[in-house]
Amino acid sequence: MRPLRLEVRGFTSFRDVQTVDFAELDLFALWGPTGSGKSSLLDAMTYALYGQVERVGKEASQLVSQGQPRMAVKLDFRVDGSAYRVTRSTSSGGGGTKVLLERQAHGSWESYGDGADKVREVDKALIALIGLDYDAFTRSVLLPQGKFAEFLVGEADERRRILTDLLGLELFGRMGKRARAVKEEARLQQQNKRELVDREYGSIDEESVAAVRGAAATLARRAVAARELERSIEELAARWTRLCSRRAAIAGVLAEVTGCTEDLRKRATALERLDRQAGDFERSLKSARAAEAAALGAAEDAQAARLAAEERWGKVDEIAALAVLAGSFLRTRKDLAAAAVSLDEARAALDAATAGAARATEQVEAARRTRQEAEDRLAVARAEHDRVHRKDLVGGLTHGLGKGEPCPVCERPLERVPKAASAGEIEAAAKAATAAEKAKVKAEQELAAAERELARAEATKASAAQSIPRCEKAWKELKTRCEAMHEELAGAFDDDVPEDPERELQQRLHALKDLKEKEERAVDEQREAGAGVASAEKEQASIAASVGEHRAALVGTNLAGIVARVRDAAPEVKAPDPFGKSLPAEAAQLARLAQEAVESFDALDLELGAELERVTEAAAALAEEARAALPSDLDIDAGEPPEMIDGVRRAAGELATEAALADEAARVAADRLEARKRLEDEIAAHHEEQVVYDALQKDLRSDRIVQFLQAEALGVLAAAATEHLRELSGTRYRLVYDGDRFFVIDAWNGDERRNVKTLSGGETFLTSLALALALSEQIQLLSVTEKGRLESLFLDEGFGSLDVESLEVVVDAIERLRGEDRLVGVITHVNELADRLPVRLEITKSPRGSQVARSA
Amino acid sequence: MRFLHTGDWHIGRALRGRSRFDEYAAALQQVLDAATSEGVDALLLAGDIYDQRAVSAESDRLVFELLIKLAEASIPVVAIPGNHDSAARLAALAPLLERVGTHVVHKVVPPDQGGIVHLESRSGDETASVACLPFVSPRRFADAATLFESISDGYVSFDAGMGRVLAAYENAFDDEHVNVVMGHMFVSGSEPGLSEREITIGADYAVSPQHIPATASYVALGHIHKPQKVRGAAADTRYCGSLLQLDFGERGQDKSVLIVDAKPGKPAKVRHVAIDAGRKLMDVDCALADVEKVAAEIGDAFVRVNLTVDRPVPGLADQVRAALPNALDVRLILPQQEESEAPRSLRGLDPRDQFVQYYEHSHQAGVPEEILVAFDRVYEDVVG
Repeated sequence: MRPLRLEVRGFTSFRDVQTVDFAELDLFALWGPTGSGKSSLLDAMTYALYGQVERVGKEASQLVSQGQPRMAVKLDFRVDGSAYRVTRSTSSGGGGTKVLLERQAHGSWESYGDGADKVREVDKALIALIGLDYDAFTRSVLLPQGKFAEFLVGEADERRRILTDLLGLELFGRMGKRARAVKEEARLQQQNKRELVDREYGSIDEESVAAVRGAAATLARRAVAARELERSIEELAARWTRLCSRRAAIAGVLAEVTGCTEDLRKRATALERLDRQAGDFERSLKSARAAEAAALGAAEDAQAARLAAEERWGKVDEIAALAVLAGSFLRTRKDLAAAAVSLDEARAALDAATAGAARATEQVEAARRTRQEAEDRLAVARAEHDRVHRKDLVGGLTHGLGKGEPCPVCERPLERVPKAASAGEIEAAAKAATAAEKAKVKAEQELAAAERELARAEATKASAAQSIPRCEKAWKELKTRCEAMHEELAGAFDDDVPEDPERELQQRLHALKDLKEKEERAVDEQREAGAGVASAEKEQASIAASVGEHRAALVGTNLAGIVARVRDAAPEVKAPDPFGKSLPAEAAQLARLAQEAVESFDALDLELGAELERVTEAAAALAEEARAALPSDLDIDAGEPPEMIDGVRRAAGELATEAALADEAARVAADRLEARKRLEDEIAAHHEEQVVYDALQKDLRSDRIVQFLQAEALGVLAAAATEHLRELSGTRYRLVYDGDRFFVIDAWNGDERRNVKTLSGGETFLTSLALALALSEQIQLLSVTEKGRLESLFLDEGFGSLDVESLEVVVDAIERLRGEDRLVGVITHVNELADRLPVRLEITKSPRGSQVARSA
Repeated sequence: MRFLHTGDWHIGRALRGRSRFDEYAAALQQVLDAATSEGVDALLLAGDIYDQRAVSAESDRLVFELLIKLAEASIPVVAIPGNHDSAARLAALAPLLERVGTHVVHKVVPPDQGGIVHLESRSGDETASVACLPFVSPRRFADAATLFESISDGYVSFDAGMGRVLAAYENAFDDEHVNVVMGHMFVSGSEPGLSEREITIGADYAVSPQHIPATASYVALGHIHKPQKVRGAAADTRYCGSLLQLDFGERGQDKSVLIVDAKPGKPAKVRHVAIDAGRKLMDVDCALADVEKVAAEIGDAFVRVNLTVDRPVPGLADQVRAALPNALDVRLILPQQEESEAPRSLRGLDPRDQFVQYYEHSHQAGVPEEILVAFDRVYEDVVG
């Protein structure tokens, strides 16, 4: 057992979770001031493993930190290379302890064993795993304060008790009990078997067995004689039976011959009739074949005619497709003619529109000239009107002036006095101007109308010009299609397409269909003629089949077999040779052969009848002989020989049964004698066993072997401890075990032998340490049961009370401890000690509880 | 420069309960006399000053008085803790001791962090670099290693690690100073005084002499109680030895301190100055009848009596001590006896073999076959 990791929470002074990792440690100090909880860490380990703690026993709930609801301890440890984890927690109110035991497998923790969460089961499992119960554990692995030296200086009885636990010596106690039980069982068996002999086998002995054997031998001889008679009657009966069966056989073959003769006779008649019918059907078949040949010729001719037509015109569907094309061709040709008409019409329309447009142009020209004239006239009229008007004004200004007088306008003297215009002159000029104005307006209106007409004519002309290419295009397309179709049709008419190719093609279709129908009719007739032939052939085959059936029946009749059976049943009778093996197929020949067989079988029939009478007489003579052989002292009914056998057999069987019973009785008697002898032997063996196991159980008693082994073990421990002690004390001390006590030998004081109880504190420590080391090393070797190695040692021994020199001795000793794969933890508050160990785990107190940490 | 090299005082060490303070007082006086009369520039104290971590007041008084007197004589001291010393305690005292001219390097630190103590000669024309290597346990070596960049990368053996520490010091040396290494360690090849803690002179603790820096003029070592020059080192390397014969292992050894004259870059010249104030430790082989005669010959020596007797008799030691009060150990030399008790061996025996042993022992006869058969059957029933 080696602890790997400890985790505590709510445990005494450790209120918060604290963990201690032991995995990497070998020799370390657990150091801290008094009261910081050093010992509690060890308590936590025993609590986790056993639910017990030295100070409070099983009242673990007292250890819950003040004010905490629960405490929990989780301990990982290793046994024989496997890692385990036990988690235990207890509530402050007591009760409520929970536990879980796990094992590490493939890196994860799994419940271990049945009832891994049941306190009782887990406690058992842990003791089995560690190999130590709580008491042994706290004396060899985890040594609590004040207990360290107990094994060394404690009471001898207590030491022996611990040793018994540690080494598993209670095994011998259990064995002793078992030996006692075996002894008691042997005694009981002995007693029971003696009673059985007296009760069941009192009367049986050698003499009584011999008398029973004699009676059995006499009966056996009589039974043998009866068996011999049985065999001779059986033989006679067998011979008689053989004669009877021969008689039956002859009667059988006689009946068979008679029956067979009748059958042959009937078949001969039937075959003659079939022979005649066959001739008739041969003739009708010939005429049917001739008809079939004629029909075949007609069908071939019709087919040739059709093929010739197809060669010329093509196949029906080809012609039909051409007919469709021809129809389409005719329609297209019609459309082409219509398109030519449309084109002509369009060209005529264009000519008309062109002429219209020319006319309209002329009219516009004319209208323009008219307007020009009107404008010219208007200008003349207006000029006249202006002249008149001016004349009027000058007249108005100069009215009253004379020549030489200044002009009112230009103030030049008037050369002459102007003459004023007349009223009429003014009016006429105005009228003329107005009329010229009107004429000009009218001329303009006419010009506009002419121009509109010209525009219309131009539009009509453009429209006509546009429709011509469209009509031309349509005509050309139709023409192209028409020519393509014509080209296609030309192939079917040797380039000479008739006016109505569609009708011509329809006629060809009709002609070809007619030819096909003719061909089909010829084929039907050929098929009918073939059926006539088949029917005639079928009739002929039917006749042949009937002949075949008769022939098969004749073969099946197996005349040779009948003859062979006749020869078996009655070798004395001369049997005829049956007809040959291979029968002819013709009806006539078959009929003749059957008739011959009928005649020879009639003769055989007569001879077999005579033989049957001879055999019957021989059987009667044999039965008489058997009746004479029956002895008079046996009650057996006489009859035919087989009927005698049952009586003889019964009599022999009864005698045999009696003899067997007598023999069985003799065997049972011998067996009982044997059984009695065996029982007597067993009683002797049980007695021997009782003696041996009695001796064994005495040796296995605890005051014998256990005491011896304890003493031996203590001697071994002392020797092993001496090796450590010499090392630890600088060769000064040795440890010996003598008279149930340990002593140290002080080599520096004349080998003075000192009771260990008189050692000083430092010496006691050295010696106890040596013994503890020896114990943890040797337990595995000494133990009678399998135990894991104790790979750890915890010393909780304050060391504070040692004087300086003793302390130096202790520190020296502890420093000398090497790891050797062993975890050694020293619990101390002595700084000088903690200082000298490779690792120090330091416990510090704080208001929030103690804490543990690794310090340098 | 001139140094006095001493160490392994083990002040406070008693022998079989006998105090040795008087001897220590006398021996330390001799050390002081040597230091002053030789006019040394410094005293090198190579560890194990005290015998125990828990130091008694009396021990402190002896040590402090000497340090004060050296200060008064203007002789500086360089000191390191040994395996017996409490390094923590010396660390605490260091500032105080500094006031009286005693420089303490309490743990292994790199040269530039106080690992080297620089001294000046009395005349002022020479200087020395004293590289200090206090005792370090292989078990704690990892802590020291973290301070050194060159060795903190990954695990190295103690020997290899110490080699790298020494190499670090060698790198810090130069030609102008007198380079001295002072250490408390076990250099392999040196011859134990047979009273050191055995564990600390084992292979785990051994440092190879090849690691001693060649550039050092002198290497002053403590730890081995027998004065000696270390073979196989490139520089003059010596153990000064203890002041007293500390245990019977050291009987017959002459104790001394070393006077070292060193110049920069040159090997030192070394002389012994005897320290003979301590009492002798002696082995005396005799019979009981000769004890009285022996008493007259041994003076005040502590003796270990190897007494030739026929057989152990209770009270023999007391009889010897009555005549020889200074007989510390009384060991018996018995006639060559055949080991009466044959080594008992239950080891590895299975229950059947144990039963056979028991049976033969208690019945003085072999086990009858039928009993063995019965034993096997019962064992099978119970165990199988």
